This record gives sequence, structure tokens and C-alpha cells, in this order.
Amino acid sequence: MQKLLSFSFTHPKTLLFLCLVFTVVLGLGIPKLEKRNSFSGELPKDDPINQGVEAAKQHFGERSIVLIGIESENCFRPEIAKKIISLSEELANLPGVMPDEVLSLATLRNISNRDWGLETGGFLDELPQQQQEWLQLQADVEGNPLVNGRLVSKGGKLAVIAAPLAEGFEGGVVYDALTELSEKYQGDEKIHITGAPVLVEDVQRGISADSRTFIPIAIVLIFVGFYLCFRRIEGVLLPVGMVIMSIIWTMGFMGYIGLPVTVVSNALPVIMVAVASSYGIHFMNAYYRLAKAADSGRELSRLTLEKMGMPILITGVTSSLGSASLLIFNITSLREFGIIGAVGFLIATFICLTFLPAACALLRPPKSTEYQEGWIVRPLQLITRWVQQQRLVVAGIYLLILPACVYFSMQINIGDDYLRFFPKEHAGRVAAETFNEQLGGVRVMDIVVDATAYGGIKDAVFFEDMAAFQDFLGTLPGVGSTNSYRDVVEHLGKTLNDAKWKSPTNSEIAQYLMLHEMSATPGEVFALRTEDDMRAKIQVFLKSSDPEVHQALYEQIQQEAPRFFEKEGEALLFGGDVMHRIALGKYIVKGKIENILLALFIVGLTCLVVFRSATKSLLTLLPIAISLLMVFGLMGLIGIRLGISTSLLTAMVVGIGIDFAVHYLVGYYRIRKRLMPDEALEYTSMHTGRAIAYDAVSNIVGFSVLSFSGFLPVQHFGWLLAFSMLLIFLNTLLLYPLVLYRPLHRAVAAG
Amino acid sequence: MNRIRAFYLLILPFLFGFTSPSALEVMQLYRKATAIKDLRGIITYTNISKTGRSQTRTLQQHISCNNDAAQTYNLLLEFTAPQDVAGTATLTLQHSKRQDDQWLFLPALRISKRISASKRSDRFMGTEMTYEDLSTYLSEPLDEYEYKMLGEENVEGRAAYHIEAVPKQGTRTQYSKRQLWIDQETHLMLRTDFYDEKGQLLKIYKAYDIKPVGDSGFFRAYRVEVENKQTGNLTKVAYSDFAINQGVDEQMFSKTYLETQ
Repeated sequence: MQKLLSFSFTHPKTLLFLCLVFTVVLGLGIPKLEKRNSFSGELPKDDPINQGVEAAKQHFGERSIVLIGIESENCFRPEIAKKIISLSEELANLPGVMPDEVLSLATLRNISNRDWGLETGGFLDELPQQQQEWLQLQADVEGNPLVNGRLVSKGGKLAVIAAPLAEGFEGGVVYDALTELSEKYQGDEKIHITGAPVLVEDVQRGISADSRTFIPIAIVLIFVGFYLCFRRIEGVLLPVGMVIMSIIWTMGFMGYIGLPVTVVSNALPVIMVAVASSYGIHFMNAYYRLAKAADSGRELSRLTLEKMGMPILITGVTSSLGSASLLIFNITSLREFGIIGAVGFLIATFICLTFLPAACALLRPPKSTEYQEGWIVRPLQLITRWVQQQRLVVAGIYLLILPACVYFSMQINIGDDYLRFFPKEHAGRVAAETFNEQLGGVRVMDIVVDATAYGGIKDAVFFEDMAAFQDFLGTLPGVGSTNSYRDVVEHLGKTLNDAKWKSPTNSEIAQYLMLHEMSATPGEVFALRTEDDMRAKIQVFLKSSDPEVHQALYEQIQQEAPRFFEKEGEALLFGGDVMHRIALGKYIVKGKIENILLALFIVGLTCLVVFRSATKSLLTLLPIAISLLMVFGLMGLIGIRLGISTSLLTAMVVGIGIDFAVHYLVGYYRIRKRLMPDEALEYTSMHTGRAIAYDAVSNIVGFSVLSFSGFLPVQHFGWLLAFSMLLIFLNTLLLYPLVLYRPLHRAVAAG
Repeated sequence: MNRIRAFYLLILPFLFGFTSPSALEVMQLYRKATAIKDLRGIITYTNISKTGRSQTRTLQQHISCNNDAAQTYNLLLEFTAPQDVAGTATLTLQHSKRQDDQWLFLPALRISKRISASKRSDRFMGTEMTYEDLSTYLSEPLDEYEYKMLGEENVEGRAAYHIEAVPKQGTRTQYSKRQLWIDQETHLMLRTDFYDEKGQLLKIYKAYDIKPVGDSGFFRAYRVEVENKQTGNLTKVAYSDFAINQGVDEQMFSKTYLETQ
């Protein structure tokens, strides 16, 4: 390593050429980058919830459904009915849509009781002409529980066309086609498009838009930041070049090894800008400070590396290890980010310690005195003195704040509320909220009930158990409506028996179900029961998109189900997209606690090896641990959820925040050999503290760029990280003068 | 009947001057081969979903022509298996000038209910066949289509005429065209490719195990498969105990019979 580092200033041109070659080669990996926007595959294969979801899929297939909603004052009108018919036809012809499974008033078959007998057919086979016929249609819809409140809202304001997609559909193609349809049919009424594939595509497009926005903004900001710090063109171009190279190398690496861009790793370029620029700041800060001591560029490079090589290496390794601590999560995108971050931070460290010395070696040492100590030095000095003088007050403030932080940390909500990824005015969110409001809910939990025998769902006892269970589900908080083959049997039973309903016998259930098969499409029939009539599915529509509500519901259902299904083997399987989120929430909580402990342990251990002192190692962790507690307290206080994106926070805070502590302590113990503790603290705060301040500002500005994201979790992550950097900076500056202050030493020295 | 067939086989080359028959002539022979006065038989059909799960039902069919000129039929279909749906039956009386009459009998209800006539595009008993397909196989509507001979081909080892049937203006159909393969020996349908209104291939009908029905002189396919190419669903049908033109009790085609069977 030593040889490689010296190579940078002894053979600067060769090294710069090699950097260029690596940049081109790794840059060619960037076009290979893929995006992954699906949350399936995030969980370990042996996870019980995941296994249940997969088993449910085995019985009922994978159903991704897109929904078009027509919102108007009343959908029982010719112009709306015509739109339902045309949209259903056009939707069936879209690539990826399963044509025989499109559900709407135009496709669904109905059986209604009339004076002369049974009317069978589609609701809109013939468009009503007279007012009386429209009223009859409305009555038919309201009398069919399979339609009322599901495909048409109660009150008739929202009519829905639902289209299941075949496996392997192309989300982008479907999304574009749906948007085109929605624009084509937009009139006085509102056309909404929603469904999980639409929201997922919205996330994908948001990621691309974010990437296009973030990187240029972040780079412009660091241009400005570096200029304000160093006031020299090379003081801007060299670190900016280093930052850009770090991003290209890291993203190229991702492309080559097949790590995708996700809603989590989307933040990587900005994090890289912040982290790499902080390494650059420390290097360039020392370069300018040592300028007077060197006669040549090569000599100045050597001196700068000698002074900053070790601290930058330590911070690079600790940041990398902090990121690697994310591997403890059982969530794929977090584990991937752990790898990407660990590699990226090492790449930034390597480029900082090779490219910058090589480039600096080719420059003449700066002669002018434009590089000033900076306005920040005086306030840093005053803060340190104040802490030393008011130790009890400062300690008292910490003792008041910390318990409050512990309390509020306990109040943090877990899991991502998918809908709240988007701003309130986002079309996808408006659509989903309209569906939630007008219908039984847009999120679905599927419960598959195993009747344990071929044809078992036609057993009257099982049917009664199912009915009681379904009624129970309908009473649970957050449940909008439920749907199962029981509703089919009940609707047909009432229709065939002149609205009279009694518990059906085995053969009645079988015959009603066969009648349903004869009149409906296979997609419609076997969405609720398997062809062997051994398993039935209950669709539970949820009005809430809060994963904690879903979690509570899941636990309650699991707890209560045995009292409805007493027969051995009548096991329940849970499916639907909400189940992935429930499992994710579990792993986020478990992983988060383990991640905090592991990150602190790894970083503490690294510092123990480097400083060879347990006290110093613990001291490096002090501002980070307290800052983390404060950030979690704030999240609990203002209601920011701990989701996938915000889970990165600990690893980032520990990994990046350790830089401040390491630089401060290295500076302090170096100067401590010559000065008394209080003087050494003041000196460190003024000199190392200045570099830390620039570092903090660059991090804060860099991370703030994430608040331009179209996704709320990324926005929250960005400004929480920026706020964390401010906290770590302040805590470093306040806590070290507080705990390292030794008044006795001054007295002894004075004496 | 075998003598008549032999006669046709001998005489046709002379009639057509040893040239291939026209498409319409083949279709006339096809209609002749399928025209019946009455038919009885057992149908076992299996619907297989695209996920591979299947469901099998067996029913007894009774068909009787009620108007030779108009080629309309009375149909009684009664399920015999599985046990829990045995006895469920539908009765259809086709009419040439007004809507068909249709009744449903569910043993669980013990009475029959009149039901609205099935539309031509409705699925037949939940299979991949529609009422239009059924009607066309009972009696090809020669006046409603333009037929074009596309050539002669081999289908599953049998020589066949390949014909395209395009509906004439005003014909009520769910298909934009059909491609037909008619067996040169029996004049039965070996294969039909159905194209939807947009001209896309919708489904394929294939007939297998063509055998004579007793000594009635008629041939029938004892096995049929209909595969929906757009949805992946498949229906397999097995026929047995065919009896053609052996006479059926016309009393069967009544609501009273339905309720008292």
C-alpha cells in the first residue's frame, strides 16, 4: 500500500493514465445497469411469510392487476356505459393483459331473477335505452354483491375495469398503453389508473427522473462548495474530478457484477458525492496548509499524503465497514446496498489517495495567501471554550435531551406506506385513494383456505365455517370488503330461490358453482377456487395502506382462525402484495437493531486496532451513538417511518460520521503531545474542526439534494442524513471538549 | 349407407372431371356428413386451465332435428357425473324465426327455470366451445359464408381439403374467418382455426379417432380438443355410445320431462 501510494507522486503521469483507463473501462459497465422496482424477491426464500405467498401462488397463480376507474356523478349513463365497454375491449387487447379475465360491467356475466325466469348475460350486452332500463341495470348491479362495491362503487360514482396481467408482462409497455387509454377517454369524468404494476412503474420512472436530477445538482453544489472552501480552480477541479471518477467506478462496478439500481441504491450517486468530497476536502485542506513547507509539487504531495494518508484510510475503511454492516439485513436491496456502499467507499478512498496526490504532484505548490484560515475558525474556538467553561450546563442539557430521545425512538412507525411514497397530488396516489374511498380498498390480502379433500369446498359444513370466517374478517379494522366463492353461492342461491336464503346443502353448493362455471369466464370462476374444489380464496380488500395495520390484522387473523376451522389440516395460506410488506417490516425491526450493534461494533473494533486503546475506541463511538439516538428520537417525534430507505440511516451515519470523530481524535492526540488538554482541544477544534466543518457542510449540502426526490422515503432519508451530519458535527464539537477536558492539567501546568 | 358412400366415391371423379372439388362442393359434402335426424351419446369433457389444473364432467346428450329445412334442433343435455351435479340439465328448443327457448333444471331446486336464450358467443357449458361453434358443427350455414379452397393437406395422417370460410356481409358471427380442414374420406371436420374479430388466431379445434358410428353409415370423431391460443385454456372432449338416427322420444324435449325425469 505504502509503495502504491508513493507511486502516485513518483510516477504521477503513469498513475493518471491508469486512472483514465480504469475510468473508461468501468464507465462501460454503466450502460449494463438494470433497474429493479419490484419488492418481490426482497425476502429470503426460507421466510415463512414468503413461503406462504409462494404456496398461495401455486394454487391461484400470480395475479398482478391493473385497474382503470371512471369517476363521475353517476355511471348509469350512456356515455359512461359506452366508455366502460370500449375501455374493456381496448384493455383486453393490450399486450400483457389476459383477455378473458378482464372484469367490468361489460364483461361480467350476471344472473337475475325476472318474472318470466332467469335472465343470464352481461350487464351491458345491450345498452339500456329507456329510463326504466337504466333503473333495472342499477338494481341488478346493486343486487349483485360480486359487483356492487367492487366493480361499481355503492352510489355508482366509480366504475372499475380490472385487468390481470400475464406472467412476464412488460411494466413499461402496459403503463404507457394505460396512460394513452386514460388520455384518450378523459372527458367530463375523471379516468384513474392504478394497481400495483402501475405504482411499481411510477417508482421505476421516479428512480430514473431522480437519477437525472440528483447527479447534476450534487455536482454543481460541490463545485460551489469546493470553491467557497479553497477559492482556487484546482481546489475545485481536482476533488470534483475525484468525486466523478468515484461515481463512475462504483456504478460501473454495479453494472458489471449485475447489482441493480433500486429505490434504495438510487441514492448512491449523491451519497458518493458527499462521501468522496469529504475525503477530497480533508486532503486538499492539508495540501493547502502544508503548501509553505514544500518546494515542489511532488514534495507537497508526499507531505500531504504523509499527514492525511492514515486518517483518510481509516475513515475510508470504517465507512466501508459501516456500509457492510447492512449485510446483516435479510432484505435484498439493503444487502445489495451494503455491498455497493462498502465497495464505493473503498474506491473513493483509493482514488483520493492516488489520483489527488498524482495530480497535485504535477502542480506547483500554491504561493499566494488567498487560502485563509476561514471565518469558521473563530466560532469553533468560542464553542470549545464555552463548553469547557460551562461543562455542567452542557452535560445537563444532554441529560435532559437523551431520555426524551429514547422515549420518542420507541414511537417510530415501522415499514413503508407504499402509497405515501408519492406526493399527495401524484396521479397514482390520487387514484389509489379514490379507490380506497369509493370501493372496499385497493390493497388486497388473499387468504387461501385448504378444505383438505377433493371437492371439499362443496361440503356444507366447510361452507358454513368459511362464511363465519369471512363475516369475522369483515368486522376487522382496516378491512373494506371481502370476497369469496361463498358470495357466488349466496348470490345464485338467492336469485334462484326468489331472494330467500337458507344454508345450502352439499349438492346445492355444487350445482350453484357449476351454474357459475357455465355462465362466467374461467378466469372469473377460478380466481376464487381451485379447479379441484379443494381450496378457496378469500380476497380481503384493505382500506389502509399502513403496513402496521396490515401486520396487526395478519396477527389477529392467525390468532382467531383456528376457532373457525377446527378440522386438522385446514391450514391458511396468506398471499397478496401486503404480505411482502408485513415480512419486510419484521426484518426491518430485527435487522435495524442488529445493524446498529454490528455497525458500532465493527467501527469500534477498527478504531481499537488503529488506536490500540479501548478508551479511544469508545470515544470515537460517543458522538455517533448519541447522534443516532437523537435522529431516531426525531423520527419518532415527527412521525417519519422506519422503512427500507430510512433503514440505511444507521449504516450511513456510523460509516460517514466516524470520519469526524477519527479526524478529531487523531488531530487531538497528535497535538496533545505538545499541548495541555484544554489547549489541545481548542487547537483541534480550530484546525481539524475547520476541515470537519467543511466536511459536514459538504455532506449536509450533498445529502440535501435527496430532498428533491419524487419519493417521500428518499426525501426523508436525504434530509435526515443531512440533519444527522449536522448533529454528529455538533456532538463531536461539544462532547469531546466536555469529556476530554482536564482542568487539573492546566492547574498543574500553571503551578 | 356404405353403398351410397361407395357410389359417391366412384361417381364424383366423373362428375368433377377428375379435378378437385370446389370449396363449396366440399362444404356441401361436409354438411351432408354431419346432417342428422337425431343423435344420442355421452360426452365427457375436461377443461384444463393454463395452470394445468383440470375439471371433468360427463353428460348425456339427446339431439333431435325439429325443422329439416331450417336445420334447427332440440337439445337435452343432462349431467351424469360428478355425483353432486348429476341430474342438472338444460333443454334448448331452437327456432328459426324467433329466439330459442331454454330451461335449466337443478335437482337441488326440484323445479326448472326458464332462462334467457344463450347468445351465440356464450361459452357452451364452460368449455372453450361456444353456442355458435355447436350450431355450426350441427349444421354448417352454407349461405352465410364465402368458401375458398386453399389446397390439399395432410392432417394427422389424413388427407384433407384446406378451405377458408369468410362470413358474408351481415352474417352474425364472433369470428372474422375460419380455416377448415375437411377429411377427404369422411368429409368430417379434422381441424378448424378460428380467428377473432381483429383477425388474430383465437382457438384451434382438432378432431381425432374418426370411426363409423355402428352401422348408421355416419362417421364421427370420438375425441376432440379445442385450445384457446389467446388464453392457453384447453378443452378435451371424449364421445361414447353414439347412436345416430335411431329415433329419440320427442317427449324428452319438454319442460315436464325435465322436471319428472
